[in-house]
Amino acid sequence: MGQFLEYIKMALDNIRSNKGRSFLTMLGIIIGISSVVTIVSIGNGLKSDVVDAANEQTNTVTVQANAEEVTDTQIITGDDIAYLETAMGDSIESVTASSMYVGKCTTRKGTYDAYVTMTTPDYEHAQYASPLVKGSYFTDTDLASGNAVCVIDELTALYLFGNTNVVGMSFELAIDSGIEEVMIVGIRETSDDMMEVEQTYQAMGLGETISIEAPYTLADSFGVPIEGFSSVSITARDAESSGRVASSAVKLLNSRHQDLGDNPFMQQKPMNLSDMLGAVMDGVTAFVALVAAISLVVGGIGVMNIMLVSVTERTREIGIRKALGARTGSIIAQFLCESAIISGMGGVIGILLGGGLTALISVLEIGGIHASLSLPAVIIATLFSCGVGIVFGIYPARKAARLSPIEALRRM
Amino acid sequence: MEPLIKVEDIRKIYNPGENEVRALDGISLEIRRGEFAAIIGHSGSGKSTLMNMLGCLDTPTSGHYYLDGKDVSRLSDNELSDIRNQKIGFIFQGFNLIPNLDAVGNVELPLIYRGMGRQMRRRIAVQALDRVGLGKRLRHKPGELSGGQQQRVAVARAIAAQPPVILADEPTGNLDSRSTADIMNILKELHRGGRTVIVITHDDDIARQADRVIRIMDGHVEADYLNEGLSDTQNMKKKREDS
Ligand SMILES: Nc1ncnc2c1ncn2[C@@H]1O[C@H](COP(=O)(O)OP(=O)(O)OP(=O)(O)O)[C@@H](O)[C@H]1O
Ligand SMILES: [Mg+2]
Repeated sequence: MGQFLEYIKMALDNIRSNKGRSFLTMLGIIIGISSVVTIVSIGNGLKSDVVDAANEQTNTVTVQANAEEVTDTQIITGDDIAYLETAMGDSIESVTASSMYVGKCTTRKGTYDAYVTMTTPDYEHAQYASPLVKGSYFTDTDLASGNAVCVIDELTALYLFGNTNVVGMSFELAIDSGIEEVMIVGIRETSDDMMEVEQTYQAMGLGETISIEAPYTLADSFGVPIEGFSSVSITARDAESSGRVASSAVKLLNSRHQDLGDNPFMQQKPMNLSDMLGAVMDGVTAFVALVAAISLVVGGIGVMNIMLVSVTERTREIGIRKALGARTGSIIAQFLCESAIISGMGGVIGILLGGGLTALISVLEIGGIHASLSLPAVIIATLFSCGVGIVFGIYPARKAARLSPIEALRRM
Repeated sequence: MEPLIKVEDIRKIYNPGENEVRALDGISLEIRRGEFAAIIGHSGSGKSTLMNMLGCLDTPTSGHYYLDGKDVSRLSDNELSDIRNQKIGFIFQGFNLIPNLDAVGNVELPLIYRGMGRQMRRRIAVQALDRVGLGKRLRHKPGELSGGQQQRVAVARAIAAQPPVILADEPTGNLDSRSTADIMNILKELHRGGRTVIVITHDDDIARQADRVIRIMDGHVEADYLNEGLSDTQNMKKKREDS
């Protein structure tokens, strides 16, 4: 151990007497380590931002027909929905099912392609839905009697009528071969984000997006009645109970449709958005970190290069040391310490630099990123940089130690 | 008693084949413990080559070298390192100091490889430098010392570890008469203290101060004789040889 300290001291002496060169050698490691640390930290920050955003709305679960068991998947009826609503009672907020139709609507301004969502009154509070700003949503009565009423959003109102004070007004809606006069009972807000997207669409000449929500019984009037839905969205009271809600809904539906098989229903593959986005972010970070790690390897080769030059330059010194009784192991230890210290110091400087950069990015919120220093990245970077020094130091060190003392001394 | 150094028909041949150099061409000799021998000969006669063999720095092309009864050619690199470290104090023809270490740093090198603690090392190194008259130049690096001073650092390094054998290759080659006398006194003192001292020299004066003179010529031992006015120990040896 005492000997080991001697080698460290020798190495430090030598690094000190070659300051400029030692620093240049470190530079490769510094750049490599600081970029790895910064990139992983940024990745970390992005990931937690994205995952947070995705985690906000997870109390809605979807139960769907199990396509592996049933051939016809449109098997969830209005009765099923009503049954779920009553059977599950207080544990849920709403049950909705919907079916999309494409139609055309006509007002005094013209005729437009329209997306019609045929659904239940609970759809008012569907996931990601904007709040109502005018009028009210269609009701269970509307649904029961198949009333020709609908809810549109502000943007659609602007397209169809030029203004948003259109509650009570009607327009002509055509789906398939049926045509109906439909009355507007409520207006949804169009979010600023949506407005922006729409403007981009318009700029690209993609035409107007007309979206209409109507009670699904209205489909009968167009001659395209909805026999059943393939999936139903259930919003639980809170995120924690959503799993339980989903499984009991699956059970209830299964028991109502035993004629179709053992398990005609299943919870939609928990396409857990946060997990998925997290995994994507991890992948991107890992890839970029890999690229940065390659720069570390390049740095390591730089260390090896300089150590080889150093061995050649110090052949005489090595000869003297061996002549005075240094064993092979002593010379190897001395040179390995030197390369490990050089790259270790480079690693420490790199971590400080990377940490500084991370803090700077966080404080300035460059690109809105909340970068957070990743401890594992720091630890791995430290070990890696010392490892680089040792691995890339071995060859030069062995080369130094193998010199025959007399050959080494004769070299000038 | 077994001789400390026993060399049997040693040869060292460089570039075998076309323009080969027979630096040593069949040398046999024995040196006893406590002897003070001078090796003389023309430049290029093979003195340094022989000394490197004796110091376990180089290996012969053929022949045997027994140090303390052990066949050196059978030892591993690390065993040779240990012998150089513990048994031999080598003063090289060209000093061989490490430029970025100061005087103390250079002198303590063999002690580091002996595994000696720092404090102890420092003390011994300072003592040795003091002994060669460099007590005021401890912190100077070789580049900041005169040729003669560097030579003396090399001497201090060889004697610091108190090895039983001192091998000196022209230790006074670069010195004036005053410094030469100083260094010869140190070597004589070591010899009186029971160490075996072998000195290579061009200088007849110095050769005369040794007990025994070995003259090398073209890689052979040309002459091997005891000096006139022998010291007591040598008279004893001579008697022993005679009887
Ligand atoms: N590595 C080598 N390769 C080839 N020839 C060598 C080598 N080393 C020494 N020689 C030759 O061996 C011979 C003996 O050299 P050595 O150094 O032993 O001479 P020396 O007696 O010490 O001379 P000097 O008094 O000048 O120091 C010389 O002719 C030299 O050219
Ligand atoms: Mg010589």
